[in-house]
Amino acid sequence: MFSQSNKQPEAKSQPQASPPAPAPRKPSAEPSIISADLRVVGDLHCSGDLQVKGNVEGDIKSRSVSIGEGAHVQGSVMAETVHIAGSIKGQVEAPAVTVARSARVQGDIVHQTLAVEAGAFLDGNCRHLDNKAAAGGISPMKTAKPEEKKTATAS
Amino acid sequence: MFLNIGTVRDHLTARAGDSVWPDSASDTYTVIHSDLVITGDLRTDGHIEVNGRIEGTSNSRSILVREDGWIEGSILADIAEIRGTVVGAVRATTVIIGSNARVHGSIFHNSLTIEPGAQLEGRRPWRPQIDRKQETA
Repeated sequence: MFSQSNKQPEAKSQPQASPPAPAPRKPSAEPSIISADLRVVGDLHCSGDLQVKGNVEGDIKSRSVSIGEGAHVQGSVMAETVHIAGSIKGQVEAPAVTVARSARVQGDIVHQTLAVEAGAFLDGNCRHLDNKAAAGGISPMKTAKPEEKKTATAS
Repeated sequence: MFLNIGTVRDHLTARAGDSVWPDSASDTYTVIHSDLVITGDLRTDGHIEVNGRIEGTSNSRSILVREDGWIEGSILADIAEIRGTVVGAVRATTVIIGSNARVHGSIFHNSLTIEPGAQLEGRRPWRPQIDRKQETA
């Protein structure tokens, strides 16, 4: 009688649905921090601010991203503002990009305004956001085209 | 009166010889706020504080899942304090479950504290030791 409970304890609990995933929340006042000794293998999506000091192997989408000195990112970075002081292997796409002297960027930078400090290592193309589509850019977050398709379907 | 979490931590601190939660300004302190969703695995020898969402496994020295925190995946740690939602197995030497916690999965522990009110679904097997460095999360 009791031995049965040992056999399939997990299966028994399955019918009760697991809690539903919460809806994405508003940006928090403070930035999320990926600390120096943390290694993430996967993607990060953030509607607020993100500070990366550790290693990320995956894509980052955020409102603002700061890649700190000593941080390593392997993957694309998409945000509204990006500050790079660490190393990135992958494409960076943001309206505002600043590259510090300690940075090492291997990949393209798609930007509207770009600031590069003397001493930064840059290996890749720098393109303006407006020319992104023509140059075969990456998946769109905010398209540069001014066409307003959405107005027709607005309810 | 029910066991105060503060005393548990004090006890741990005395046993471990150093602070259980590292200083939030230290290099080993990761904060995942409510606006961040991580789809993938985390690994660190430091501390992770989760207010946001992780879809994947985490392996850390210590982890604190706050009320708003939500993890779908397994947790491996030396010390795990869970006050939010975890869908997946928890493996930690010391596990503290808060009163608002929801855990859907087994809790492998060497020492377990559960506050009244926690919603736990799954087994809670005791283990003589849990070595997070040898196990794969």
